[in-house]
Amino acid sequence: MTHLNISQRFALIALNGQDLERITIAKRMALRGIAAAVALELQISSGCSLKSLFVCPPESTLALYQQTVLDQLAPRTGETLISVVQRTQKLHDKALKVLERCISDQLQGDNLLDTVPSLLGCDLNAQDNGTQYNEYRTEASVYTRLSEGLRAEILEDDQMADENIILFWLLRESGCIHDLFNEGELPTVQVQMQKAYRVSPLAHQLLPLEIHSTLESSLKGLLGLKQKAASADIGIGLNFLFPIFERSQSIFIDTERLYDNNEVFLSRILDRLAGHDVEVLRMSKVPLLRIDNVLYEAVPSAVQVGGSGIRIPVYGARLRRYPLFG
Amino acid sequence: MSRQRSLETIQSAQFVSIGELVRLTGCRYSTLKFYTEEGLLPYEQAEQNLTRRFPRERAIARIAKIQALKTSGCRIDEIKVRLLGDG
Repeated sequence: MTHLNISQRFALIALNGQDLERITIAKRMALRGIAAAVALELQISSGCSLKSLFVCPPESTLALYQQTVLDQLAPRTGETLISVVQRTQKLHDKALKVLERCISDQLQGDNLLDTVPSLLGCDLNAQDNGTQYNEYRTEASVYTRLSEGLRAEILEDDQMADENIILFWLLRESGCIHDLFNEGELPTVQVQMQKAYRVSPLAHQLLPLEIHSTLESSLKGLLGLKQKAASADIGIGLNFLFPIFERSQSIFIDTERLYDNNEVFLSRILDRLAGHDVEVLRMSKVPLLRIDNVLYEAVPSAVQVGGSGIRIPVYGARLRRYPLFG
Repeated sequence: MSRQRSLETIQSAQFVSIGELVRLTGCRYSTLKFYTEEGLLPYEQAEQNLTRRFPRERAIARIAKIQALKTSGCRIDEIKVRLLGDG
């Protein structure tokens, strides 16, 4: 893996699984975080503090996406870094779309990011109405190295590096903290951040800073809560019975008929999941699959389709989120 | 000001942190933590609350060995007997 700067590392974590076509609330928060990351990485690398004046580096030293961010933020003479970072909160969707295209093109060119059909597109209903869903997917090994490396360094290191303090802050401001840390780890993360706040001048200035919109964070939190309810032990059961509760967490894959043979059943499912990064972790009547870095059980199931009194059973598998953490 | 070590620096370092080991091997943090707690990975720790330092070459070789044994169907307790038996 080549050297990645802070904005690229953050983009690879935050864009993974985001809708390709639409600017969702989650993606808007991620893109604002990328803009803030660019402003920070350009100044922090030269040892400036947040209260230093923002100095635009020469154009020739900037990547296209970094130049795009600076064009959108248009730092004024005599403006401090903290003020430029805070202005990312006001970036509108049109500017964010331009930034998204620049950074995603660059990451895709380096084979670090890919666009894949969303798993939701494999659902029987989505296939029937011809809806196409696409999303970003970070290359699996890169995603593991970045996310797990950051988790390890935040949870274990006694002196946190500046890059990790910035990444933690970006994850917090874009509402991605729960994608990386489970409930049991959050108290340790909090202790580590309190320690960093006391000993690191950067953490002391950066951690109290907020660039998220309270309304957007609340909405993302609410949507996250719905998703979490569908992912938790009880939620999985609820969602399994009432898939409409959280469609993205309960996907029905049509296999055309009911198979007794586990291997044939699995191969029919794998056919339907073509285009996704699938790994079979458990081969049984209810196979366990890792699809695009998320674990699912494929439970043999049937739904009834049709109307006007004629109901036809369709056999297949319902993908059920498999709880990674208790 | 504390800066993160570059990949090139880590690749030639004598000792690495668990986070750096994750970056080098691509293994999950929880996996390496489990191996460490099971005594499968060698490390040094100056004091109880300080970061564990892993001898890079030995730790990477040991992880490769564990993964090879896992692929061949060994369970963790069997791997433990084999590796710790080796010394």
